[in-house]
Amino acid sequence: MSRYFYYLVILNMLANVVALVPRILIEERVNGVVTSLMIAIIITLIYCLVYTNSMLKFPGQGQPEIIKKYTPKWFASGYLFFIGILYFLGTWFVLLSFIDITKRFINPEMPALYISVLFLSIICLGALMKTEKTLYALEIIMIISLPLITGIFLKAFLNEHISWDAIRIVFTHTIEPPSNTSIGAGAYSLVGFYFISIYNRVLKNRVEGMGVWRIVLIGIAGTINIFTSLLVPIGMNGIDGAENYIYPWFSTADALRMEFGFIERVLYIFLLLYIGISMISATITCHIAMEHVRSVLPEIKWKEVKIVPVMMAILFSLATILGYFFLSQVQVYELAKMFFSLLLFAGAFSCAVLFYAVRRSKQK
Amino acid sequence: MKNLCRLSGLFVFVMVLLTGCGFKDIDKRAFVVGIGIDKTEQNQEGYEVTLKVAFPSSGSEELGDQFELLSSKGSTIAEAIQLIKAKVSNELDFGHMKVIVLGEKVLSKDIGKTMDWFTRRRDIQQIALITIGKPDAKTILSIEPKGERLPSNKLFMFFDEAGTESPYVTTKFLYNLRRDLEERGIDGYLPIVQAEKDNFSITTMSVFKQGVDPLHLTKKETKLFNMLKKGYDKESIKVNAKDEFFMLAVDSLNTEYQIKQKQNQKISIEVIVDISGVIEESKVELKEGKLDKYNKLAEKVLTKDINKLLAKFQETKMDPVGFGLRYRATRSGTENEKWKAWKSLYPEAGINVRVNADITGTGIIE
Amino acid sequence: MFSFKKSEVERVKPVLEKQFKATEDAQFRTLSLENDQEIELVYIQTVIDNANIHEQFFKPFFEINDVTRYESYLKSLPNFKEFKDEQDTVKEMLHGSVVIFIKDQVYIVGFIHQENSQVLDASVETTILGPQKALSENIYTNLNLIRHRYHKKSLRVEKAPDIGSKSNIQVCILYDEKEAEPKIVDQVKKRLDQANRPIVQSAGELHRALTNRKRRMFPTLLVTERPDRIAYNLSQGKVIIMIEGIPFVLIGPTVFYDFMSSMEDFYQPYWVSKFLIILRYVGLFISLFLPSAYVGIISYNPEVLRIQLAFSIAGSRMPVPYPSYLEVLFMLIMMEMLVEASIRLPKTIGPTATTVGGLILGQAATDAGLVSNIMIIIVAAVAISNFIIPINEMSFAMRVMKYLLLLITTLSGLIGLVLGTVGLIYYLVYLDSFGKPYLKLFTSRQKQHI
Repeated sequence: MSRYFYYLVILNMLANVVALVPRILIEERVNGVVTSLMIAIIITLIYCLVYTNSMLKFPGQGQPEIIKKYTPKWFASGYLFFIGILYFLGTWFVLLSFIDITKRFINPEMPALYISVLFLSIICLGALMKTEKTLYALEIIMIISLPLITGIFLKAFLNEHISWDAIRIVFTHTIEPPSNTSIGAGAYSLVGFYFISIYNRVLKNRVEGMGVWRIVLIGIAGTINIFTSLLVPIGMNGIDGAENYIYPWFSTADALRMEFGFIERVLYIFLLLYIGISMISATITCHIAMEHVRSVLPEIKWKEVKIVPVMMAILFSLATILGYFFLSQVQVYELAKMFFSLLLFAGAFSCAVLFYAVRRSKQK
Repeated sequence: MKNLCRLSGLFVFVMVLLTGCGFKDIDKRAFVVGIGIDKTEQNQEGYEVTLKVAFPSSGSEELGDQFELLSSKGSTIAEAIQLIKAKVSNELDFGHMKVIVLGEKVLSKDIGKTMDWFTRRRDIQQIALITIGKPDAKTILSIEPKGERLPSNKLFMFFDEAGTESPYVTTKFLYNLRRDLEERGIDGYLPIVQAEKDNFSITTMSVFKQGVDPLHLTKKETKLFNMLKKGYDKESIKVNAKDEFFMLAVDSLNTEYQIKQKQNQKISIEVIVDISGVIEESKVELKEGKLDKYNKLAEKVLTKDINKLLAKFQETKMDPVGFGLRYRATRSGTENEKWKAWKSLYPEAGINVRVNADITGTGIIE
Repeated sequence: MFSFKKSEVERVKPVLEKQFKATEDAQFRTLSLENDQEIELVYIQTVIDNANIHEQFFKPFFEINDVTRYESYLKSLPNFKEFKDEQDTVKEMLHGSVVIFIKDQVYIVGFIHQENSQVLDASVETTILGPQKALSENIYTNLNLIRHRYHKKSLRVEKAPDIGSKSNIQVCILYDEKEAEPKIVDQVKKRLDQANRPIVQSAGELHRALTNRKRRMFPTLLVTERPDRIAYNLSQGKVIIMIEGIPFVLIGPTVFYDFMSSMEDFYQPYWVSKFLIILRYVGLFISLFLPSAYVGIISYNPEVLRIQLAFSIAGSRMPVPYPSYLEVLFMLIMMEMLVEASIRLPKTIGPTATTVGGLILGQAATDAGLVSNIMIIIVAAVAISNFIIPINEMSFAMRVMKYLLLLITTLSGLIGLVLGTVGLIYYLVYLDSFGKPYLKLFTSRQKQHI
């Protein structure tokens, strides 16, 4: 497997463990969240196995080409458009929460419009780049931030003030019925492998299929990641105190300090790193969304420039800005819960469609 | 290309128009280094808020005397701060507020309500140190210890483990206190800073929970509690028996506790303390061969002391160690049920303390 | 062998006469033997090797004493070229060839002489342990230097069309046939064909002519003066573009790391060179981010700093009347001016200017309360760390880049710094150098896997 595939998977894990996912999980912390997470991980790993292996059967091709080739036209257009919209929604949630985080934690006096324009201009320009170029940018940002973020996670776990009893309480509720929202939220942090749908075009894989041990590796990384995301805020803020925080992870990061570091407050390092991560994550999902939607729209040129992606970028930016101003934080949160649960079914559907395409390609 | 240039120029221009807020230079800010909350005399509801605002000096040679105390009264903390804002020309910046001093009398009010303002504001560090001021917070903040380069620096060097390490000092961060207040099964505790003439001392602490009068601990109890809670191992324990008297310098200390439940109903709290160290000071001659005896002696003394302390907590229904939390962590059931059960079980619980002392030597002399 | 109709030669001669008759240094010599056999030599005195022309052309003619045999003598000369057409002949003459008319034939013999063919000391990219000599201004001397460092039969030297409609500079491309990708070689040739500029005087200018992007921030081709770097890059499959009269060559395709590497890296022990590389990147980050981080932290989020540091900065900023970004800009611009001044000044007064400017101005500016002490430290750190970047072009690009970051940070605080950095990464990633991605981590020499 190409190393970029792992970057994509890890990126999605990291990008989603701080904003909306932990809050949903913490809300469900005494309602069988451990079981939910286990189920979520197993489900997504199965999806991952099916989906990635199917994609690898078509080297150098992206999902749009495959779907268009093997399914009826009406279905292909509808399906690709739908998938594109889902990716746009994913980007939308990341952006909305990070605009809000920026405003809350870094620059409370800065107009939200200005922050959103800044974010969007960088993301849209990035998403309009060539597919492989987004991967290079991803690699650089990952190499810079991954060690630091791992360090902060470790520091949180090794903190002497962390309350292990609070964490143990979460595990006393293991044998309880899981809930749909927490399965959805848990699964969402692991869905990075879907990014292969477009990136398969440029990933030159040396292997035919996705072996079991690779899946296990991803599973272990995902498990560590999602449990860190859930347990550290509970350990730092208490089992009863954790639920009041809107962004539990940032409040947790503020509770960490580096006595001997150049910057004492971990919060700022964490915030700035996460802004970078969310930027690249939004760029990549936005790029995938554009490629999907673009494949079903006709190509229009204006003065030698392909206009469709640019129009999409502008529309998306408008939607984000409007979304920020017309939706309250609570509404976004509720929508995200629904979106995450919906993705579980969309994922199954996606796998089924691709599996069908593989069957068709073999018949031919 | 030309169009693009103009367009980006316009874009930058619009950006410039949009921004401008939030830009405030560091020398235009008044840094609050400490805040004190006191109860007002006349009004039951209100607070008296004291801010210690530091003024940076332009020359690095000057020392101290670079702060101003501003205080104001209001029915809420936010209201009092609004009033203080009217007294300073610079923008108040709470980003560097490292010390929160609660006046002793404030503790009689609902502490949860008092702390709400601190946890809600984004610019207050969660790692601010929090302490109780005796006789009141304002006095503590107004003390100017000698040789202080930064206002309040001494105070937070006390708590910061980078500075002094004293067995009496309990470090409590803001997030820590908030957690203890919210959590069912553990109660909050804070160190008490006692004002002296030109200095302050920290030797005691206070345990409290919402809606109940705080429980003050004595010096000895404070030391013992820190030992149990933090596993604090840089201290000496006085072992005093009939004709033997020695100080045990602790090298390592490890405390474990378990909540055991006998026959469905009564619970017992098992506390096991492993301690090892060397003898630091003695008034009588010690024999290397009699270490076993000294171990026994130390164990006996410590067991008695710890038992006494835990019994005191139990009597007042305080639980700063977190036995209740441990109970919740080791039982299944819904959280409300567990908590209810614990509340009825704790007052009757038996306490078993076992100390394993291991004196490794008598120092470099016999 | 070409054989021409009479009219062909007759056509060349008038062209040459028309072009050069009026020029003082153009020579039209007719030599004749007793048996009425005549040859004519046409050359420009000032570009050919005037001292030896008698030895090489006139004396043999009379010694051989036979035109046909003289013809074969000419063909044996090392720089003999065949006649193509009139235009080519004119160009060859301008580049120092002697044109000889014998009977109906036109012969061209390169007989160039260039004054500045001595090998220069490396002055732009100096190393401690590496070779101390750079290139010369003569393209043939340079080829000689490179051939001596790279003995391989697959090394190809190709002449590209002359560059510049007015300057007509001769350009060569060099590559190792076995290592270089044919696609890239073709692309370089195509770009050279398309390059149009009236006058090309330096490698940087050719670089500008070669990239299709009009406004460019970062160098996408490497300019170097070191033969060892050229040899190394040849072995890496790069294409070298050599230009007549310039002691620098262009290397392409180059990626970001090439600009951050010094030849010294190969001459030092492994860990030492790794340390040097890390140091260079740290320097790059300091020179890019420090001024904007200062503004972002001081004016937007002072709580990032430790309280002690925050207070000492606030203290030293007390007498400064301007907002932080003006303070930074003021000092940075003063620093840039010092740097520029010391480049332009004669070598003897250069150091004096910097001392006067740097020491006295810095001290006075703080005393006068125009800038804070901390600011002086920052500016000095920025200036020094900027010089760590080994390739000049990159360090210039980064010098400009930091102002863009400063602008965005001034407008939007630390968040702007992060976004600006992400934007900068995107831009660098977006760039191409002859079809190769400009910024990509872990580029290996083996077949590139994405």
